Amino acid sequence: MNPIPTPSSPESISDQALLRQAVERQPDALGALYNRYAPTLLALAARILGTRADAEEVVQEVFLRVWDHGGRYDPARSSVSTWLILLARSRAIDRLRTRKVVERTHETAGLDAPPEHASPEGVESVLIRERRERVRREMGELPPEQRQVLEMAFYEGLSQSEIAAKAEVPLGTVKTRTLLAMKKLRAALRDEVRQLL
Amino acid sequence: MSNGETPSEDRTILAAVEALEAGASSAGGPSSPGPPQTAESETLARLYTEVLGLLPFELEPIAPAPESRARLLARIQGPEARATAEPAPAAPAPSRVSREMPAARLSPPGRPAVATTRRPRRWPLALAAVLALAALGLSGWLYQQLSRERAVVASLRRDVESERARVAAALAAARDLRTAAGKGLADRRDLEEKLALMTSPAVQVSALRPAGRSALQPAARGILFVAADHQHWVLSLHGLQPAPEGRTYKLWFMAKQGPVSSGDFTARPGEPLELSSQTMPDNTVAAMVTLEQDPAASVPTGPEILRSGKPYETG
Repeated sequence: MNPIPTPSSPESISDQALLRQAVERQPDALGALYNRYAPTLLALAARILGTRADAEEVVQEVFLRVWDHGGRYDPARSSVSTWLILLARSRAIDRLRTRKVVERTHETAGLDAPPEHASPEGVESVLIRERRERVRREMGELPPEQRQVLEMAFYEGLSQSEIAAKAEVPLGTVKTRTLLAMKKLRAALRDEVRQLL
Repeated sequence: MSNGETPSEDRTILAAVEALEAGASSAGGPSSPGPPQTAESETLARLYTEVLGLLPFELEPIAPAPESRARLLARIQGPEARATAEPAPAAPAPSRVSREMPAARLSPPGRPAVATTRRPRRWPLALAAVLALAALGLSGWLYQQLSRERAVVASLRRDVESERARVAAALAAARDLRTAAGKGLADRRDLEEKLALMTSPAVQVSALRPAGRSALQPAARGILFVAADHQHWVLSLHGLQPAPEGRTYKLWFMAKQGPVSSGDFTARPGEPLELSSQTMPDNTVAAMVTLEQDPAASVPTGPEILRSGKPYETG
């Protein structure tokens, strides 16, 4: 697996190299990782939790965990970015369940503070920006019902059975939609995935 | 499936999605779905895990507050004891998939996991530096306090010395005043006694006048007051000239057994004299003032200056 270059980052250091340096207690490396992924993680946590303050806390927790336990990262299981995203998602879902919020908004209008969208131009990695555009485009290509099951699983932390109950469709239908969506995305995002491997 | 994918891939996909709920936050990375584990299924699991990891990139990124980054860096650059003091978070409950997966890392040979060694901890040095700075600051502060205290003590000492000197001077003045007052009181008592004697009804008064026609000091005068007890007496003299060099005035009481010396004295020009005593020789009938060369003379040898006349009672 080749390290992913991040041309727009000042050092153009790969994610894995930055993580390794962070594990070696180099704050600058953690800061670089933060600059690279905090906007995405914050958007993810805010999407799940619906509040900016909680989302900021989740992002803090993720990077503190990276600092303290980054040595447990296993590159065979995922890329660094996926590892960070799944960490943030898990933390946010846990927080959401602890908070016992049944209903949450999916709209940023529900945030308790207006989020400052989009990192300043030039700061965000070109690679990440391209990745973002590609994912948006391909997600937009998904049929709404397929997109819905993915979002309910990923952002709401619902199991397939819970999705079926909530969407009032058979479990088999949920699984089929999920499979179709995942396979389409894998095919459409193969270049992106390849970069991550 | 309708697109011809194998059921094995379907299981892997569904397991990957289900693994999100089972512990995707595992510190070692997402759980790998899909028993049985083969190289192909592992690859598929990894592929779909990465697909899931791409989903949030559809979201509009949110720039974190600048203070959030600063807070994070402050927290990690604080006491690095976080890494050791804070217990490692418990591993998430294994999922159905992960239970079937070996607990060991999935790193292929020749590609070790990130960073298995850590640089020597720097927090002891940082802590020592902070403590040293704190000690230095404390020492400086204590030195300042000590200097200030010393200045205060020195000022107090000066004040005390000054006060002591002032009190000592005041005390000396008070003593002088008391002495003067005592002397004044004594003088007053003496004057009062003399006045009482002079004004008592039974006092005998005798005038002293220059003796003979060729008197040496014709302007000299004197009055002798003798109490009724014939012991207390007061002699008031006026007009006596200062005694010549080498001579002195002597007072004599003339008794039946002869003249008895009652002491010698000097005179200042223009100033009256008062002599007094609580004793007088018995059977004194007169008094006399002579000018003697020997103050210790037991009998009059010098010229007679004044002599008393007949005594009489004023009452």
